[in-house]
Amino acid sequence: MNQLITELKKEIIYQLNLQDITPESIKDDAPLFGEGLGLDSIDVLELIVLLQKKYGIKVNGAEEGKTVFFSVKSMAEYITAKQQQQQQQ
Amino acid sequence: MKNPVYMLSDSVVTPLGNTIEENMDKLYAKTSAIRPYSHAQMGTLFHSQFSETDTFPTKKDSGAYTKIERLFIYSIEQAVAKLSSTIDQKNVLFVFASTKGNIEYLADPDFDPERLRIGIMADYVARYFNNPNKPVVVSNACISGLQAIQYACQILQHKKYSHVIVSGADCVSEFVLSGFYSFQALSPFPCTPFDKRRAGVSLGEGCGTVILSSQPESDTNIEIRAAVSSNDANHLSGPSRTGEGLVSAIKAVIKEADIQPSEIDVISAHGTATIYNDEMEALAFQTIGVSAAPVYSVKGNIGHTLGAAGIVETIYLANSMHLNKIIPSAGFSETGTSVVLNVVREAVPQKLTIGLKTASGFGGGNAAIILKKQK
Amino acid sequence: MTYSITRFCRIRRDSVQADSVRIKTNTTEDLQKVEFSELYKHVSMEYPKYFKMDAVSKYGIIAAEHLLRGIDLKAKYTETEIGIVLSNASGSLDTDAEFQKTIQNKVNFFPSPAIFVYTLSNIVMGEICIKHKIKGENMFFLSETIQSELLEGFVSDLFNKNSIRCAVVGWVEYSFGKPDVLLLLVENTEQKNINQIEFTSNQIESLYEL
Repeated sequence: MNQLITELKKEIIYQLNLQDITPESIKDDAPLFGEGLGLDSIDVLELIVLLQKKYGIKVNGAEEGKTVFFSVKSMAEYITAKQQQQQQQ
Repeated sequence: MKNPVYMLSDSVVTPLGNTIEENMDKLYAKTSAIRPYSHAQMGTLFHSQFSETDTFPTKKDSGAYTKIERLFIYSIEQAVAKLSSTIDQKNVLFVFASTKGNIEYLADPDFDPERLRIGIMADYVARYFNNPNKPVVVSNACISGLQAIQYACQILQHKKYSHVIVSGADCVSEFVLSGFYSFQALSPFPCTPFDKRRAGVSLGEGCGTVILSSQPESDTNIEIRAAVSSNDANHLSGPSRTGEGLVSAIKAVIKEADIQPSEIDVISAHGTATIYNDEMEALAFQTIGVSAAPVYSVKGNIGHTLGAAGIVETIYLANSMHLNKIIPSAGFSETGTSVVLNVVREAVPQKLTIGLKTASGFGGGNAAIILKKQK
Repeated sequence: MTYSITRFCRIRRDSVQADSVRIKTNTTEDLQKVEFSELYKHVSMEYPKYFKMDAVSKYGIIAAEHLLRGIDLKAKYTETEIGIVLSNASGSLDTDAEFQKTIQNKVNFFPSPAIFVYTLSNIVMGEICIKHKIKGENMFFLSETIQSELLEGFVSDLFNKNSIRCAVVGWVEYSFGKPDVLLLLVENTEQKNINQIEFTSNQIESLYEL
């Protein structure tokens, strides 16, 4: 899980062209949107693409996106849960 | 506008039909041209698209032209043929509206990349008509069509040209489809503007041409009373939550047209059927005090034709005013906005004198036009 | 009625130093490295969103920052009294090609929303409107080269019909790594002074030649 969280932080910074932000400066459970990293709706869509491209996981719609992309931790938990589901099938 | 500007002639070419009469009949019957198409990566997508057999038979050989260029030529030829007077090309200005032009050829190594520039594409089309004047090209996303009309109205004030031919077109391409797909903005069924179950936009292709002049050909020519734009200055892809930008455009157009909001007989809305757009428009109409006026969107019939939309939809509105019959909003059954609008369910015969057309788009632009029937 | 160009900003690739751009305004002239982070540092703005923009938007934002730095338009005009009329040759073709890469490969088909949003000619204008709260008339023209008469004519008409009282006007072109930008601030100034340039097509062309 910790490894996945670190990896996600790096990916978020790279994919979303975040400036002057290091993986260490992102707290695991800090909100990514609004007050937190200040991401916006286009960033959510880009993160949906990231999940699909890198982890083969499909997030349905921006509504589900809101809970999945609440924080780096919630993203990692979602990915882990989905991957376990896929293994079981 | 100091000098009134009149719509002398028009043409609409969409998958609903190649003439304005066919288009109007199908709008009144709530016919939709939106069909399912399957795409290997994106699955089933719904849009309005010409079939392979739609050839756009132009008068001169147009074999060297691309699909969108032929569409422009074919539509312009039809509009010119409907004029009762003859025009001298040297007194005519072409104004084009398009958001993506020849974009479907972007990945084609054999295609001249210069022609991907919409300005160059416009030169090709104007040259077909042996028009000697440098065409003007407007590309301001979804408000391009209305702004091309706005530009034409302003240039006609100077009496430099006898006629301005305003033509707008865009084609459905994998490029644009995949972009809207990535935005999760495409409806999984033919789009249903202002409806409770609306779930996104359907794209469409087509071309609209209107010939404008400060000299009317008859007292039935509809007048363009005013045309304005504004910007939300809020977000690139999302409409303002309050509708503030659209409100400011509608206020300005009403002022320029020198009318009262209560005089508006019918509103042709942008109505893309995305959750946020339709909600934003409803709020804006309420703020202006026109939420009781009959309102409709044609996106459920022909999809969102992007750069063509403003022109095609202005022509539809003008023709409905000639016919004194309001166009029904295809796909609408139950109010889906927080403000209850008077969305038109079935074609309504009603005397129509003043019509409002609005549009809003990516990049934050809003535009509004007021049409007035003389007689 | 004629109006005045009260400020301008010209950005173009330097003819001698290929890795630099020349930025001229009515009061300054600078040679700066083309790197976007360098251009950003020089205007000392705090706007992380800049780094998410495509190249033409970045240049538009930089030019607008030079153009409007240190003045308070809000003190003189309401937001809707300020208009913007821009133009270029290539639309968003540079970014269109970037987006195409994300859909070109059918086994690796992942269209990018963050790139797609920049694949319209007018997005650079939208970015400038957001940054500077420009809410009035907005128009985007496409033409092979800068059409000074088109810009002057359309903008003057907007002033004449009292739609706007101030406008950002110009050319924001970017293709094959080369920026070519001219932004003008046009105002209706009753008191003429020697620093003002008349808003005419000839003056637009001379500023473009700088």
